Amino acid sequence: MAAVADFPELNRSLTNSIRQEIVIPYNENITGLKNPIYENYNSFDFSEFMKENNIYKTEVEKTNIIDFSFNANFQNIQNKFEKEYSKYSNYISSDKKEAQKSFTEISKYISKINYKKIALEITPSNAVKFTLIINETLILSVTKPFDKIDDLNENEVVFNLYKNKELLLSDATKVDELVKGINSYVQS
Amino acid sequence: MLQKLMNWLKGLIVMFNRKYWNKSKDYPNCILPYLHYKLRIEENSINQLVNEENCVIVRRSDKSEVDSFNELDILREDIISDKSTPNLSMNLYGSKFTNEHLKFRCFGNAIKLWEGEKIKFSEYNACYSILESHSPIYFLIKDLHNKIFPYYKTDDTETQKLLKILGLNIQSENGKVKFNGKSSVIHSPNKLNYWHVEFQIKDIQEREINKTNSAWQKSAAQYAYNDIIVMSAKKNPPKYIYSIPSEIYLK
Repeated sequence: MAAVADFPELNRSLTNSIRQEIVIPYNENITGLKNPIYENYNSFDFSEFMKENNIYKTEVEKTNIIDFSFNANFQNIQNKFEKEYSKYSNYISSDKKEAQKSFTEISKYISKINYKKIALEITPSNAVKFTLIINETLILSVTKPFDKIDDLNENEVVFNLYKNKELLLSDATKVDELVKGINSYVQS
Repeated sequence: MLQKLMNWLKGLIVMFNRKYWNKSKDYPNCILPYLHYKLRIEENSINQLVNEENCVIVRRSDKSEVDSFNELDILREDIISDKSTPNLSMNLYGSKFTNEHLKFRCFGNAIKLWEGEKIKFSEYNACYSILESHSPIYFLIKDLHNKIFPYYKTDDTETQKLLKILGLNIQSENGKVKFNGKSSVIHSPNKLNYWHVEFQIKDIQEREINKTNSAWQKSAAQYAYNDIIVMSAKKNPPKYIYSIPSEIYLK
């Protein structure tokens, strides 16, 4: 079978369409896939590509979006949210669909943190709170309000870092910076 | 005739009592304040308890154990509200107070501070209810007492004045100045429970914060709750529970 990378133009068009459809972020630690297209994207619809290039002689039906880099952490978080939502969705005082969208966005980043265990809660203050056991001594709590708050930008979260259950650091920061910071702190 | 009627009525009462009186609904006398008890367990005695590894405090959650703690056995945020964090009610464990007593929720006059008087239970027998669903939340007193938590005040003239009074040079960040508050556990016996204690929070001037009306008070309550209460709450008590010596509370 020809590799997608062998068709640069197709690769580009797929790239654009995939960009609009991707929900799950690529995580190379988990996938280990090295094909250039996999390195940038983790899920796409193959059917058009196969039809156009007649890779298979038989007509190919349109397939569903395939997630090639099954991100276990992300999926685990989604499952936990579903369970939590079924019990505590009444705590969400803002638009519930927007809240779910906001949760999905934030969990893309949270799933990239190197943690051992994770729990999440929907809180009565209309927010989602992640609690992550980073290692034997470190606990990270990350809170993302579902509502827009004056002090907090859209891509910012409030975090508390505890060492031996004593507060080490507390701040509001961009979630991607938090992920980078925590991962480098743990590795150092 | 009247005597017969009286005897018949007495018999009827005894029969009803036997049939319907559930002893588990009796308020436990053993946790009432008594005249031979000290009016308050003083601060130095509290400090003595803080020095013990396993001196336990228990609070009732109105929800089941499963709904009170998350998967990591960390207390959920919906169990205690920010508003109730100042002067949070708890009970000193390790003497007369046990888990059996958690189901009794006192209210009205029963939760007024005990002033050393003899308690006539008949005056309060309508001042408690019995909860069907509840679970214990355990703490070690050493994890709650004398703990520091941050809180934030808007950088305005009042805050600058406070910094000047305290001789502090704290730079504001994003228009907020960070202060440190302190928590403490205070013995606060009420009319029906001598073992009642309160979790108090104080500002940088050691003044008690007992409301969450303003933004800074709310931030203090939130941080005290998240950093101290949530982080120290336990699903299970330690294997060995410190037994409170009688000299701590007897006159």
